[in-house]
Amino acid sequence: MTYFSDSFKEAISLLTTFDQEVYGIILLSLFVSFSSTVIATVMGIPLGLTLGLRSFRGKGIVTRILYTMMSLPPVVVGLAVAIILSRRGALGSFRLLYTPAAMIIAQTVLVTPIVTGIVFNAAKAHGEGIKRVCRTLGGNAVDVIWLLIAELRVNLLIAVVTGFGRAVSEVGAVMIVGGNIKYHTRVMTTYIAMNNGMGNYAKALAMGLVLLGISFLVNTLLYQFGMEVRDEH
Amino acid sequence: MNIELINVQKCYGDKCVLEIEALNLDKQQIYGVVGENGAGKSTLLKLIAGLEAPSSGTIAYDGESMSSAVIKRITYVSQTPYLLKRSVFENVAYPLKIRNMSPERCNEKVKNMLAMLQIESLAKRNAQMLSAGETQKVALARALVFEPDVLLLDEPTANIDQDTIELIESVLRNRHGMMTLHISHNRDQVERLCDTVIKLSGGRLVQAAMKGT
Repeated sequence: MTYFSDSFKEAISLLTTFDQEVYGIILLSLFVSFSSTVIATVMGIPLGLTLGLRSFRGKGIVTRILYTMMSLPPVVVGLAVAIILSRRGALGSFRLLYTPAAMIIAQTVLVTPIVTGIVFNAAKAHGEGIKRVCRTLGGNAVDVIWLLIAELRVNLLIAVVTGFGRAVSEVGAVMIVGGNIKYHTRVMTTYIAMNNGMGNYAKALAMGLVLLGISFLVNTLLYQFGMEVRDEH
Repeated sequence: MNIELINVQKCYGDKCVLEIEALNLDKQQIYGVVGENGAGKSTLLKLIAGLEAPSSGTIAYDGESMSSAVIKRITYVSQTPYLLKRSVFENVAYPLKIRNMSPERCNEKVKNMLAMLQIESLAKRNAQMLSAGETQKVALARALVFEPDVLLLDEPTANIDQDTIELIESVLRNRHGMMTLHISHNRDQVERLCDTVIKLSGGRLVQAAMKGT
C-alpha cells in the first residue's frame, strides 16, 4: 500500500512542481497519440463504412484479416516499422527511426484496424437501413454519407476514443521505434517501463496515475457527448 | 408518373424470384399487391423504388430510365421502417431539408403533415422510442411530406391497431395525383382501398385487373 500512497503523493508532486521533463513527456504522449488517432480516423472511418456497406468477392477473408489486425501485437508492429524505417529499410532514406514521426507511424498501424473494425461493425448492423431511408427519401450519394455519419456518430466517437486509448497506453511499439530517448521520444508509457526497470516504482506508478487521469478525462467527454445525444430528444 | 415494366427479371444466381413480361402502372391509381410469401411482392417494390436493379429487362418512368431526378419522386416505406435518431419533427422534416426547402416552408409542411396523421403530440419525442403504430405513422408522414409521385408501401399496416389502419387508409385515399403500390395480406383492406389488384405467384404476374373485373 505504501507504493500506492507514495506514488499518489509523487504524482501530485510531479504535476504541481511543473517539472519540465514530466510535462514534456505528457505533451509528447498526447501529441503522438492524438496525431496517430487523427490519421487512423481519417483512414478508418471511410474504410469501415465502405467495408460495412459494400458487398464484394472476398469480403469474408477481408473481415477476418481486419479482426486479426485489431489485435496486432504492438512489439511485432514496432519491429516491422523499425525494419522499414531502419537505414537499410524501404523508407530508411527518410531517417525517421527514433523520432516522434516513427512513433506516430507505428501507432497509426495499430489504431487504424481498431477504428476500421468498430466502424465496420456499426455500418454492417445499421448502415443498410440508414442508406435505404436516405435513398428512398430522395437523397443522393453525398446525403447518404452525411446521414451515415450523423446516425452513427456515437459509434464513430467510440471508435475514435477506443483508438486513442489504444495509442496512449501502448508501449511496445513506441519503445522499439522511438527508443525512449530523453527529451526526444520518451512518452508516458516508456517512462513507466523505464522507471519500473530501475526500481523507481513510485515514479512509475505516479505517471501511471497521470495516464489513468487522461483516460478518465477522455471517457468523461465521451459519456458527456452520449448524454447530450440522448438529451437532444 | 406512369411506370412500365417490360420483360423484367430479378434473379439471384440461378434462381429467379421475379419475372414480369409486361406491367403498366398508371398515375393516380392505388394498386394492391397480393400473393403468397415469396411471391416476389417486396422484390417488385424494391425494383420500382430503384433499391435493386433488375437482372434483365427495363423499367421506364414516364418513358425514362431510373435517374437521380426520378428517384426524388418515388418513396418506399417498409414494414419495419428505420426512423432517424432524432425527434419525430426532424424525421419528417428530413426529406425537405435535403431538398433545400426554406425553414419556414419546411416547418409549415411538417406541422400540416403531423396534424394530418394525428401525431402533433409526438413532434418532440425521440423517434426511436415509439410504438409500432406511431412508428408507421411517422414513416408515412416522412414519406408523404415531400409529395412524391409514387408511394410504395410494404405491408405498412401489419401489426398495428384498427384505428391506426383506418387513419392511414383515409390519408392514402385523400392523396390525389399520387400512384400508390400497397403490399397487403389483408383482402378486406385491398378491397376497401385499392383500385387495381396485382396478384403475384411464384415470382410471376398472374393478375393485374381493376377491382370487380
